Amino acid sequence: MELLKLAARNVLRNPRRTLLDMAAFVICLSMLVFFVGVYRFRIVDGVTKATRYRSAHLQIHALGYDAIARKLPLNMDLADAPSLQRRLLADPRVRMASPRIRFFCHLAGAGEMLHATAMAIDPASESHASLLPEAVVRGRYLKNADAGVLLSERLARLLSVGVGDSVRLKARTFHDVPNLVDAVVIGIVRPPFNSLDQSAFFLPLDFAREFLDMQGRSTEIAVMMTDISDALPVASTLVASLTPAQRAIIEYFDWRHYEPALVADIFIDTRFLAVFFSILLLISVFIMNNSMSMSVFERMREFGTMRALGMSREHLLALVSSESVLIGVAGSLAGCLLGGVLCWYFGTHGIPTDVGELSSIPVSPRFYVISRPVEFAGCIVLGAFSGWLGGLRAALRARSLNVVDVISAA
Amino acid sequence: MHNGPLSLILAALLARLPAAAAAPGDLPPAQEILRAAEEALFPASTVMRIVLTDHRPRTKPRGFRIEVKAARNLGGLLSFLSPPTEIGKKYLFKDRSVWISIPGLPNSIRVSSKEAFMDSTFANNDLMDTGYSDDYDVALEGAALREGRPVYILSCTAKTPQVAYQRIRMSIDRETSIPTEFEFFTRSGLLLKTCRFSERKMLAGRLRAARIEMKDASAPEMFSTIDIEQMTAVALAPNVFSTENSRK
Repeated sequence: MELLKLAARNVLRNPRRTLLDMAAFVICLSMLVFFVGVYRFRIVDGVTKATRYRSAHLQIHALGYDAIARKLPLNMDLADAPSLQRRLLADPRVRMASPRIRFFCHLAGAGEMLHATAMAIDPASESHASLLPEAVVRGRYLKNADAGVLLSERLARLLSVGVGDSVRLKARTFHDVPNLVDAVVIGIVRPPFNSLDQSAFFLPLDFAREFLDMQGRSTEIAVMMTDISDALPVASTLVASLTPAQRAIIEYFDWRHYEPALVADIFIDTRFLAVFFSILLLISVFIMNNSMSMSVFERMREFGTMRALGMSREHLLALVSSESVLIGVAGSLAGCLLGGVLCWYFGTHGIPTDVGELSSIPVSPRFYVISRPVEFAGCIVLGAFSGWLGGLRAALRARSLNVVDVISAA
Repeated sequence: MHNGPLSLILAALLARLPAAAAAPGDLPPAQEILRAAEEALFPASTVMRIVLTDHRPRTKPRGFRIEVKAARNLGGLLSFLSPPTEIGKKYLFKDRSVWISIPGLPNSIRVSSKEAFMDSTFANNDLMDTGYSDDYDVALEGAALREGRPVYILSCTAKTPQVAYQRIRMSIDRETSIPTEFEFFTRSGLLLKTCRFSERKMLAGRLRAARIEMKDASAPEMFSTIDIEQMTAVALAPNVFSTENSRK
């Protein structure tokens, strides 16, 4: 305790130098707190929107479907889907287990025919987990009995149709036979992120099954959990409850399989942030090292006197180290304060993004900040460690000084 | 699903043409009419030279000259004669499957018979499988006048869901048994394509339609035509319709 008091007094003896040393830590650690919050929002928002809009937390298909999924084959439907759905819904970790059909379709409105990707959903069972009800900007969300579609704004614009207008769907049925049907535009959605998925549209499962001649069939079961980390455990529980014959004909993947661009983006961003902040901290450490070296050099005679009066080498080492740790902790506390202010401000007002329509990963129009106590605590620990590391060389130099040489040189 | 408006139009048409309508006892059985129409289209075994032209808006029409060997119940073999980029390519239709052989490729590629032929309005099976009586239950709707000529109206309903068109309405000339128009309907009852037969010529020993025009109901400005330049009734051996032969 006495040592800490002494260290604190030494630190305050040269306030300008101390403040300059702290400044590096304040800047570095406040940025760390802020960017971790932004990045956390980026991940949570992106994953939430991607899974609620298109991929779900978990998808179950017929075995082999995923290998040719880019063709959206209808004839690889999931055998005994209702039974699988019932088993999943019996699991308390599952929020939603809903059959879907994805297929390629041509859409014609007032103008020419366009190629689009259709997703047939069970509107009632997906309403509480899906993003679609919130994304409707004109008209309304689907009902199970509708003979209509939800179009994205882009598709509606390209087709020159609005709510209440008729569109013609052309697709190949389960038997690979062309079929046509007229559908009403029930609603227009604005997906809450810029994405190539603006060429997708949605229709009720029963309507799609009649159109595609797929009564009772579906190509996937989309599953949403209360906690996303339960996706694979839930799948394992399901598989364990099946007979070997039933297990042999299904496959499942969690959201990471269907959002490779998002996963890659998270991976790259994490690595980039780690490298970036490591460099910033390294700079802070070097600044501290330089400053403490100067401080020790200036106080060599003082240290020599203290050693002559009986202070041990280890105590001297601890004293100098404590000074640098105190500067690091003080800097990180101030950095947490500044970072907290930034997090509060941008958490409220957001940061506008301008990614445009060509992004293939979910990017919200505005980034906010999600902060947690863990990064503040981590910053203080990091600040203390970096301070210690920065002052280590100077402290070792102070420890190794020769008392006689120092006093006689003075 | 039933195509209500088209049924009403047909009923109105028949109601306005009492002279064209025949008493039920005067009309031959539907299967007989269909068989006669199939005979009038192509001989049981034939070699033809045709020109397929694909018309699209704002682009130059694409033309293909093709030699067709076809035998009922055996299959069909199409060999491209022009343009130069397509020479050597062959399409084999056999047992409801289509194989494409391309020079330089060791194996034939299997494609769906319901896919568009060379991106035209004709599907593969439109060109290669004209044996409708195998796949459809045919009923005689009645008689009518088309462009001043009396025709039978046949309604053909698919026997299985795998058949390309759920329903076909055929107009068959009463005197010559030459088809005048086919309308293809989907499972939902909507009109998918319309095929018109015109330009009668003496081909393979009888009067036949030498021009076939297929129009997509969803995009009427896009259509494809087949002009039959030559047709000869020739007995073809079964081994003509083999994948080995198609790769030669």
